[in-house]
Amino acid sequence: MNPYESRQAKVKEVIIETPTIRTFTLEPKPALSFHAGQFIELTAPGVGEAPFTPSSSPYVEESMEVTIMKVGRVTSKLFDVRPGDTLAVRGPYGVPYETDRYEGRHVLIVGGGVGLAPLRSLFLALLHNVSAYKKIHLYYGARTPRDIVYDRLFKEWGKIKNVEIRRSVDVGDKNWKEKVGVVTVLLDNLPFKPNDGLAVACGPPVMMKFATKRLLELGFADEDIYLSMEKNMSCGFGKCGHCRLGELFCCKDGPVITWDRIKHLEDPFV
Amino acid sequence: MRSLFLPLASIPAFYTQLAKYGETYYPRVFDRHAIYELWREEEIAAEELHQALKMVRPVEPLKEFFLGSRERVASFPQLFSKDIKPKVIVGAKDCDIRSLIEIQDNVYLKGVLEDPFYKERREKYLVVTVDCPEPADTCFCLRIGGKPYSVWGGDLNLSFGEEGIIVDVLSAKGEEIVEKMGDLLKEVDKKEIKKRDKHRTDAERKLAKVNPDEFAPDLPDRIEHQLDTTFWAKALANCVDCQACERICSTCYCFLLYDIPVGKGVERVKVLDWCYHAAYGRVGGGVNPLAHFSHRLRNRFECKFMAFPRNFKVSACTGCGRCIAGCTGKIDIREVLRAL
Ligand SMILES: Cc1cc2nc3c(=O)[nH]c(=O)nc-3n(C[C@H](O)[C@H](O)[C@H](O)COP(=O)(O)OP(=O)(O)OC[C@H]3O[C@@H](n4cnc5c(N)ncnc54)[C@H](O)[C@@H]3O)c2cc1C
Ligand code: SF4
Ligand code: SF4
Ligand code: SF4
Ligand code: FES
Repeated sequence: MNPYESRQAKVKEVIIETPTIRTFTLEPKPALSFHAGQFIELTAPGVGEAPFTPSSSPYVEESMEVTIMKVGRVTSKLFDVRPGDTLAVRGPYGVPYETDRYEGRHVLIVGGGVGLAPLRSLFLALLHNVSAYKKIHLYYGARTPRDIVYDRLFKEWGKIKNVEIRRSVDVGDKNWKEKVGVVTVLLDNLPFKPNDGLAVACGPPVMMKFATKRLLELGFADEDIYLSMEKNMSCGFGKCGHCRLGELFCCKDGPVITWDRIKHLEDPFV
Repeated sequence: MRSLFLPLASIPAFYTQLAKYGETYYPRVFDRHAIYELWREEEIAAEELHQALKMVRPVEPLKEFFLGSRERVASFPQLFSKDIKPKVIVGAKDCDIRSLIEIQDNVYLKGVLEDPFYKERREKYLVVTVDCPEPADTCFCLRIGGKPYSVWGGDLNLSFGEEGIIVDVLSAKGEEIVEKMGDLLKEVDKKEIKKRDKHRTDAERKLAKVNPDEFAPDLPDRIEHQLDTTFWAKALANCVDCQACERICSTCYCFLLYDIPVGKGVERVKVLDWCYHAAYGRVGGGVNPLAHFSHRLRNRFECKFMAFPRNFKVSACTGCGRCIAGCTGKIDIREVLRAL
């Protein structure tokens, strides 16, 4: 097996989520199955690769969705991609969420910006067996109502029994009826006791820093705070060195890492 | 392990036999340094090889043969294959072989996936180590788990004496090679072993004199708690950012993958990379946790003397001294470690 090789993946659909975020439906050949929390390396033809976490349900095997924010070279090239084009993927890499540890507990999912993309895959995986958890709490913050990803899906999600949804935007508009403020405002008045649940967070570094601080204040145990760590990555499988965080390598020991494993570091979020 | 003896007169025949295994590389002296070169028997007499073999480690780290600085690793959708042929590398030192066994093997052969090309080279290449009778002032193997001679890890080890060479057979591959050599190799006399022991102790004494102190046993913790940026800024005050220390390091293992469009497909190339590069840690949109050079210097020490020992029980440094010898700013890694 050559771990450096990618497989072809046809682009089936491109959904425009926000002005800077799109969701791509890919059909890798042969199919590439993954567990929630794992990521892939996606090749933009002629430009290079970047790491992304699938945003679709791991139970759908024949295709996968990836939700991508345009920030630089590779992601800009991906925005030129149209249905019918061919990309390449390799993976999956990283350690899946330990969802069996979540059974019988409250699961709090905290997302910021495009950080909801990887969490959507976890959310969909949990929905597959929704009665196994006390309740799933999906809390999401975006900059403005226009920046909300999956707005088209939230209505459906809100109807599911055993799911609680809260949303906030930093800056609202005249139609916005939900919370205004940074995502941590959603953590006030939690409807369950922190020792009866666990929290999973993904978002920009500042959000991660403040969300972790708030979750700790609320009384979540260190090992019950699951953080998606973003580091520079090249190989994805623990060889190239780039993603080191203390003793850990985000690609093979993460990318989701619980707070107890990194709290000794000076500032894991920079 | 078993030891055999190669009388002076049989040395040329021994080299000829070795070269039958594959392309053979020996160090040769250029401008007072040993540098590996492909051996062409018809051009270079066996005696000419000895001077460089008795020197300290060659300029190039051993990883040059096993990882290379630039390598095609995949292409798609077009099929990709590689034909790796056997090679013989003569003249590696204990610090060199340890850089493979203790560092590169841990990275490239263990963990979730292995690098198939490195693996194949490790299987196919024959490494012949040689004692270091004259350690350099930049050498500190003795203080970091090594010796100025090798007793394990390579396939054969050579110790030069006045009457001939003691050949230690260190692996199954080495055993196969010497078996093919028939009666070139003799039984070794106890007197020869005694003489070698003395040479070895002398070399160790020299190293101990140049490096009188042990490093602190708790280097990982010291590095973890050294958060004072002025410490790191001071340590690199004379650094001109030439990055030679990491480029030449035998234990640095970092790389970067990049794609070259070829026709309708892609060719993927793996190039050695190093953490002094300003863009090494950069993530999307330009955020860079290693933006300042002092962060990157600290990163190097964290990687080698904190993370690696915690993960693999050895430092990612073998004391080969290449970074000291190659430093434009005359920075000595030993001094930084002692100041911690
Ligand atoms: C495990 C993981 C999962 C991710 N999942 C998603 C996702 O689902 N959706 C999403 O929009 N984004 C995700 N990201 C972030 C995404 O990988 C970056 O936005 C992307 O790499 C930016 O590439 P660029 O070339 O467009 O940016 P540029 O700013 O042009 O390039 C950034 C520079 O950093 C290098 N680089 C290497 N690794 C990274 C990295 N991790 N982030 C940024 N740059 C990197 C690039 O090669 C380049 O040198 C994820 C990151 C990680 C580590
Ligand atoms: S850090 Fe210096 S002494 Fe240590 S292995 Fe690398 S080049 Fe050799
Ligand atoms: S992180 Fe730096 S010190 Fe460590 S192996 Fe890579 S280049 Fe060398
Ligand atoms: S560091 Fe030790 S083994 Fe390496 S060349 Fe110097 S004396 Fe020889
Ligand atoms: S991405 Fe290469 S080691 Fe983690």
